[in-house]
Amino acid sequence: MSHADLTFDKLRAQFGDGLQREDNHGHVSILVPTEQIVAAAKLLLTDPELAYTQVVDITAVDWWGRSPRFEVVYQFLSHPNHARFSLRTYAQGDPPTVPSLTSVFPGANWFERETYDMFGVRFEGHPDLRRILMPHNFNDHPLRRDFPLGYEEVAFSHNAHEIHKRKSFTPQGLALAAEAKQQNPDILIGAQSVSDPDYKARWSQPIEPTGGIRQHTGVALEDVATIGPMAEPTPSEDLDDPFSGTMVMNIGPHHPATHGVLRLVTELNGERIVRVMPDIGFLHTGIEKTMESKSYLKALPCTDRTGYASPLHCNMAFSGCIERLLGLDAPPKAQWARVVLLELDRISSHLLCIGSASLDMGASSPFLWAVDDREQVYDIMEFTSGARMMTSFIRPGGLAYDLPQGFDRVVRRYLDYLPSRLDMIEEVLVGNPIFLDRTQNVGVLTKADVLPYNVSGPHARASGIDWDLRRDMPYLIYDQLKFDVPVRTTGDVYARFMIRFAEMRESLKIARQALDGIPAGRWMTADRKVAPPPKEEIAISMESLIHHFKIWTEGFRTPPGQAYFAIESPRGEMGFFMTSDGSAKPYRCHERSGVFASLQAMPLVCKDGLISDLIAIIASWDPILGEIDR
Amino acid sequence: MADTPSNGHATPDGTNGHHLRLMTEEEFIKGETSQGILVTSFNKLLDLVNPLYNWGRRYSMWPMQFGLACCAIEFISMAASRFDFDRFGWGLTRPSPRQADVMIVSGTVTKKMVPQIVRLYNQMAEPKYIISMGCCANGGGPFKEGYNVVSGIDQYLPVDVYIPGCPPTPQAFLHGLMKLQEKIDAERLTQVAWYRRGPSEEVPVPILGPDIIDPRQLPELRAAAQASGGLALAEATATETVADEGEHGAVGAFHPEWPRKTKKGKAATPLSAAARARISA
Repeated sequence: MSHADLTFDKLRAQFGDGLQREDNHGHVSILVPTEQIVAAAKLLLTDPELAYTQVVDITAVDWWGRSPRFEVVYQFLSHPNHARFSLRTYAQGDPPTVPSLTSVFPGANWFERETYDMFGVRFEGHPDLRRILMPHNFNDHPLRRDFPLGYEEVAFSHNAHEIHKRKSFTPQGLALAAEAKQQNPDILIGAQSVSDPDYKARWSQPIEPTGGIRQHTGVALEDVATIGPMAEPTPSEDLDDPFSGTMVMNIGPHHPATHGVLRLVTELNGERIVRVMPDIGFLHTGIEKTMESKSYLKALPCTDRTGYASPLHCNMAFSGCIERLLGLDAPPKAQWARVVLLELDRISSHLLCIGSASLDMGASSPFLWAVDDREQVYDIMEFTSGARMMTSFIRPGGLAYDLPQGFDRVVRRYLDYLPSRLDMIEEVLVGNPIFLDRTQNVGVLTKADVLPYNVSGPHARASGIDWDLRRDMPYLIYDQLKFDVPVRTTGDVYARFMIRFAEMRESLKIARQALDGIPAGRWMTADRKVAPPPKEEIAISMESLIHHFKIWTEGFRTPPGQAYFAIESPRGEMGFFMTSDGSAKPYRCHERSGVFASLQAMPLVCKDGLISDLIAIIASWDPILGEIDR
Repeated sequence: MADTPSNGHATPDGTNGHHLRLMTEEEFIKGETSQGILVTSFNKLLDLVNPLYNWGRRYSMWPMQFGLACCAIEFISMAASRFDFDRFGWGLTRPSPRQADVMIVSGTVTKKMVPQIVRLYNQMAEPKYIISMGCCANGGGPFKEGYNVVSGIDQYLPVDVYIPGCPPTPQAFLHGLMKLQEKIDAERLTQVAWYRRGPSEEVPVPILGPDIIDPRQLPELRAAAQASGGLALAEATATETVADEGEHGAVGAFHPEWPRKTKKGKAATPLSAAARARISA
């Protein structure tokens, strides 16, 4: 009896036989009545046999035209049992509402906010239900199916003028929209070419009454307060003086130390941090919606541009999820080669983290060295795929091309070269008392906070959680490789850096083993419904020509169903949740990013620290905003 | 340093060296005298200073340390040891816009971020340049269709150099950098914006409406929306305007960054010709 069966039996015993079970591509999910979702989640967490310790992802699917319309999907992960489980429920009422899981899993907080922001699903009992990605004065929920993708058609020289006329703000645009609407009331579905007056009208409706949503955007001083109710001044004992009180300081979205467009509203008592409120969404490109409008293959390049420090991991999570949906395995050569590339990608990402962190703390040599070592990873990627960063090399069904001649040699040369460089960088940092002072015992994330606040990856391992998806829930061929999972217990900034050094060394080991093991054979699956036929076949085979045409025009179709696939990215668990309706485009495509989830634990860590520690803490968190904001 | 006729500059009488044979003796003497004198007018002096001035500026551009998305990672590669843009004197990245000469818009510009970018640009001191790096900043790039993406920073800010690519390689960036240097080289002291009288105008900070809008166009947008019986835009964004109408008028009070009225009572930044044509078309 698998753990999923056990979970299903236990849930049925408590909530009656009416529960529907669905086996979606190795992913068991159960539809739970809305009012029982909290009780069910509590059972999953508290039952000692089940022990689902984390809710790793919450998102919604908009079944537009059906009733009830919004399906909320929860992914649970049991660390002790190495098992995943999914609950689903329908949001009832108008506005659609489900009970919040934050009382059971505090880490559900940001996921529920995101779902609210994107779909307008209310989470009853959520402590702080505000928009998280869109601007605070935005007045709609963009991932709903009836929300247009955007206004911007791609303009070419022959139609640029026409498109410009149709802009929302021209009279022609409004008239056109009204006319189109009259002819076809459903014009909005995918019809981003026509501006819809109703869409405009929604802006003039009153703003939804959740208190926190404000009319203003921007970073004016008075707006800082709208980020949330500020805490009462709570000076620590030793700082207590008649002039005590707090001040609010805004950091970002343009700040050299925030590694992108992260904004932190900090409340300070002197130099001490009382509170930090991350404000994200400045790089929210609506990539999930864009991906839902493209065929699977065309959506793949979007994934590179989310987690841009580790683009291949995004490719892998996305491709793996589609392979789940298709019930397909990549051929062995692709699997082994993927591991080599992923580990190089991990090294490059960790080097960026350590390099830019040392620059933030005033050490510029390690930065230059680390970027130089990354360049060599880029060289390998360019040699392999033709592109430095955005390779899109891992594709559903295998790899984009065969590995080039000499791949083995260039990778081996790099693997031989890097260890001494890592020693050099580490020595410069660890041997420097300033670095030690700024990192040791700073920003401590306790072990008890890790799982509840949805922290994963190196951040969790630095705090003593011995968990690595590569070892504990292996994907690809990681179960055939020998490697260690470095774990540290202190949970401070120093531990988070040292974990990354240790992981890079392990990555070298893994890459070497995988390189030794790359078998001969195909690099892409032989399934002609997924992989394009070889060029030479097209000239002689009618069927190949048809497959070629279908794949590059319509794309391949996936069977209906849902799948969640997660991998160990350099910033924790990166997963893709996909819902397919049987067409060639994902009906719902959601990216679960590790650092989005773990960023909500950062305010805990910063509390009572010094403002200068904040810089080190941000650096150790390695926030990649493309991945956070998507 | 003498201004010889063969260098293509016209002599003060409007002739150049090719006409010498047709000159009278008197004219010839006059021409010869003018060649022997270092400076014949203030403009000529400036022409001599221009190359030096531009040479100094083009090799000491200080970029703003400012990254938006993926392109910023390639920018880091370009700034580090292999590509080393310090060779061009551009290495001193400044965290503050006040000290920066060039802003590199490296990445996707979203509707939530564009007001901040314009604000940063306004905070930069002249001379200031913008390099738009990557397809997103050039025109929306792969996310152009996205509901939260601005189709290019050039809709709000004057871009000097566009670098295509997704992301552009460091080599491509260096090429763009050299293009900007060429542009700087061609500038003349008499024409540069920062020696004109009066402070330079700020770019109005765009505000988030139904689609993000340029406040300069607001009256026209409002009129257009009303003329077409439409909805929208105007009422949606004008709620706060009515409250403190009076001192600045309905439009003036709309946004703190709104260009205040000039002495003549007109809006400080009139609608661009292109925008006017677009609306009246």
